[in-house]
Amino acid sequence: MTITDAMLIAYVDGELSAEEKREVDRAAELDAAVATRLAAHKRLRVGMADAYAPVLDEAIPAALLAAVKGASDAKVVAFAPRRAALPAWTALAAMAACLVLGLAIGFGAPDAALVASDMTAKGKLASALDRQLAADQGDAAIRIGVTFTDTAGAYCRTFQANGVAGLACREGEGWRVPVLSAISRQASDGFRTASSLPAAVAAAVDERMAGEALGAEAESKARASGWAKVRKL
Amino acid sequence: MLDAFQREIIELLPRLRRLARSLTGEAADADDLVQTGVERALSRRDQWQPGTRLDWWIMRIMRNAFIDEVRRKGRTALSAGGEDLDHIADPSVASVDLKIDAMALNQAMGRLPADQRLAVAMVLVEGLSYAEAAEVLEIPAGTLTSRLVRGRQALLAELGAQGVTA
Repeated sequence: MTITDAMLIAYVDGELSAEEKREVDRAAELDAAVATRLAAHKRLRVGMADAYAPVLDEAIPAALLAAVKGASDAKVVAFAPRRAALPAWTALAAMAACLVLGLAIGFGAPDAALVASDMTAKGKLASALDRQLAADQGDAAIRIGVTFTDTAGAYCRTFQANGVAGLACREGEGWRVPVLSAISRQASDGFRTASSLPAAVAAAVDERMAGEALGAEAESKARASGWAKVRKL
Repeated sequence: MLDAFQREIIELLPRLRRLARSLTGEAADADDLVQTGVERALSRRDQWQPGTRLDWWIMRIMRNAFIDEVRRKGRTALSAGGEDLDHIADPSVASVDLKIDAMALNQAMGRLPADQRLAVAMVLVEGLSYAEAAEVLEIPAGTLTSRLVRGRQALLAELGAQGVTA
């Protein structure tokens, strides 16, 4: 009988009955042309799966996480320049071998995780936010940018690490990260000013900041207070 | 705080991104497609029936968005591939040989008509059975298999024409 491509394809996809499989096997043994076609379809199946599998290990772009998060937090900053920013992220993802978002979903070393799946700072990021002063951070991997109080009197600090920048605001005993964005290479110098932050982070700072950024002395005092909320009159 | 629905979506993101990459061929377009899917899923979450497959529901939303995009762009396939092929796979992960095959495959996928690309992606990338793929795509089993066969014959022909053995 004639072995059609449909049969060969169903064979490699595991969709044939035992009897049909035997028929294809027999045909492949007797006819080299059938065997060659069967092998090509097998390689195609494996090749397709392999071709796209590496995507599973890529870091998830911040914009996608923000999109999922959007519904629960109306204050999340819209990623307005998303279209323009995406290529930078993908290039960045390719450049930076490190996984910037160690979300607890099965990729990345646990100690690489900066932000928990509910968008609170964890691990090294949490301790940098707790302890590090902008004026004295040596060559720490996580850089603290500006510190300020938001309109509700809570301390907020911008940070950058591993190709991402974000804003963290004190909430209870921890830090909530309302916005996290990949940074382009050009933006990673001169971090001290908000203008060099990714647009989404800068917008979040603008939206929340009450008054001026803290100077070195005020920052140190805030740390000594355990980042306790500033009482508003 | 994220609720259970959002957490489930976050866990699906790697797979949704993989599927989208195979459909659009290019990272930025793929993430736009996933983002559209996620945003629509969240805005229509009351239409999702708990107990049914959330991943398939979002994939259906993405399929609709993908087809709309292909239609919007006229006869041109959405991102035919060819320019941005280095995005298909992280070069540090894939071996050189695998990368060549992956690039050629991605390019060939980009030349398939959208309906064949969807059928091939569901079975070969997402790994669904024929019955499952037909259910996700909401097409009869016979339609699925004919698209799969035509799509795969075209992929092999394309790869053969490029001198690449699949």
